[in-house]
Amino acid sequence: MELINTFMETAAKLWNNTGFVNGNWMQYTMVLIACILFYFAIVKKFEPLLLLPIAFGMILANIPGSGVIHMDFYDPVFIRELGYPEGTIIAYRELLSGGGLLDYLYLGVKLGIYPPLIFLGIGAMTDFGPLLANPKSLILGAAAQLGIFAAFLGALFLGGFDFREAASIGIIGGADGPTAIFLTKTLAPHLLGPIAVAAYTYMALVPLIQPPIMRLMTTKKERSVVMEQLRHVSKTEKILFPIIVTVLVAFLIPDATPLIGMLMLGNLFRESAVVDRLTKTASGEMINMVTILLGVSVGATTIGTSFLRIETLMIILLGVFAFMIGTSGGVLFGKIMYVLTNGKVNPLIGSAGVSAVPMAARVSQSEGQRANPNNFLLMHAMGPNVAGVIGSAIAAGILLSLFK
Amino acid sequence: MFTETKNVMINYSSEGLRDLLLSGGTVALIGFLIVFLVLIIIILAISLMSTTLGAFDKKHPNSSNQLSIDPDYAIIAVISAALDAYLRKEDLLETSPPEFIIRRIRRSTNYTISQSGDSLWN
Repeated sequence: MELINTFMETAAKLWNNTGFVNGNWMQYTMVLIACILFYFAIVKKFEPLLLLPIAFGMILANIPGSGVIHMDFYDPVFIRELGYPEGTIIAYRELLSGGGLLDYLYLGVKLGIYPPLIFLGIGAMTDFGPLLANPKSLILGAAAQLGIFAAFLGALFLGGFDFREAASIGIIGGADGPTAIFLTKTLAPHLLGPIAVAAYTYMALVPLIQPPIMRLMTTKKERSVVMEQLRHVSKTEKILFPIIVTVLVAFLIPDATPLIGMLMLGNLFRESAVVDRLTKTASGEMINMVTILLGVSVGATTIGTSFLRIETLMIILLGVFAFMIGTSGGVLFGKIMYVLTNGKVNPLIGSAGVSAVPMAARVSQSEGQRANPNNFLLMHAMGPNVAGVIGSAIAAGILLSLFK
Repeated sequence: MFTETKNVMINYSSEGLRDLLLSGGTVALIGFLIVFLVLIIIILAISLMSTTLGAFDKKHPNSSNQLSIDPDYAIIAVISAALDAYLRKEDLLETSPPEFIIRRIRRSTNYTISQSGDSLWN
């Protein structure tokens, strides 16, 4: 009898320690949301490289009592209560004595390490040749940043967010995950989870969001324009480009230096062709490793109590608004270029200025071919597309310098 | 002004909204214009670089007397043109080769040729 009692007590104690007993509806809802993201990533193949680790991080962080992450350690109010000096961003004593696995991985986000490293890899994979062959396409990359500033205003007026939060929400319109994370971790770290999830989800949904806007804003004649073949770009130009852009941007917008600097360093690795091993590492294993760490730790910031709020819904709505305005801005400037060049520029390439490389360029290509099966816009759209990466990093630098 | 508005609580009175419109609108406008300005500066720098390189490098695509053809395509086109001529038992060098090859390049690569075909042989 005593044996049975001991067994029952032990079993009850174990049961009481499980997540099923200690969980609340918010945590179960977050697990459900993670499952929806799994569906998008695995079945629909929408940005699986990031949605998959983000969704898994979401599950890990929302299992009651798992202790893998403690977002309190990064909360300014909590840090102040513990008596840390003003300006401390991490409760480092508590972190070292009782931190979980994801607390340590999250340091890469909190300290702004992962996004620039991702940019290093992107730079090593990107060919800026189409941009160099047609530098005017940088204008389209700038025009598509309209979504950032429109969503910024929308967040201020409609969402009731403060300036820092509005800037972080606006950057979703840049369609660049690492840039959004880089800006938000400084200006509004408490919104990091919803903003990162919204940014990557919309990036995945580019093929669904953009085409209706592109068709609505252009005529069939404009969409059918066959653009002239791009000129050949010499190796010297490709080598000088990253150096010139880094120096110019770093001097003009110092806050954009970590992102632009790493992007251009990666590109210099590639174009110089003298550090093949570094290029392979940056564009291969390194970016893969950082993607895992970034995805899991960003997913882990989506704790139910902070994620399941009306603000998250507002962020998701404002994010899609930012994407739509950004696409419209790019296409609108594409139309202006169409008029100014007497119909030599296909306005469809403008929508690729929202970054989201190379998905947005592929959308321009497919819409162009839909209107004219002999149309090959991919390389023309790659110019604004990579310009969008530079443009959104510069926009993030500007917002940082205004509000940090 | 911007440092003062960083963490401002939103005041929804008509005066508060007007102030918000002014400060938020100014930030958005200035931010967007700066993005444009920086990218225009980059365009100017790229154009300057390309022009300078073009002036010094005769093989550079921006230099005069040069075809806007990707060399890889040109080589393929020349080889296929020569093969064509051989199969038709024509003497490639005696049948006005540049024009013949330029026609072939146009057909096979859809490349736009802006300069005289002679420059292919330079």
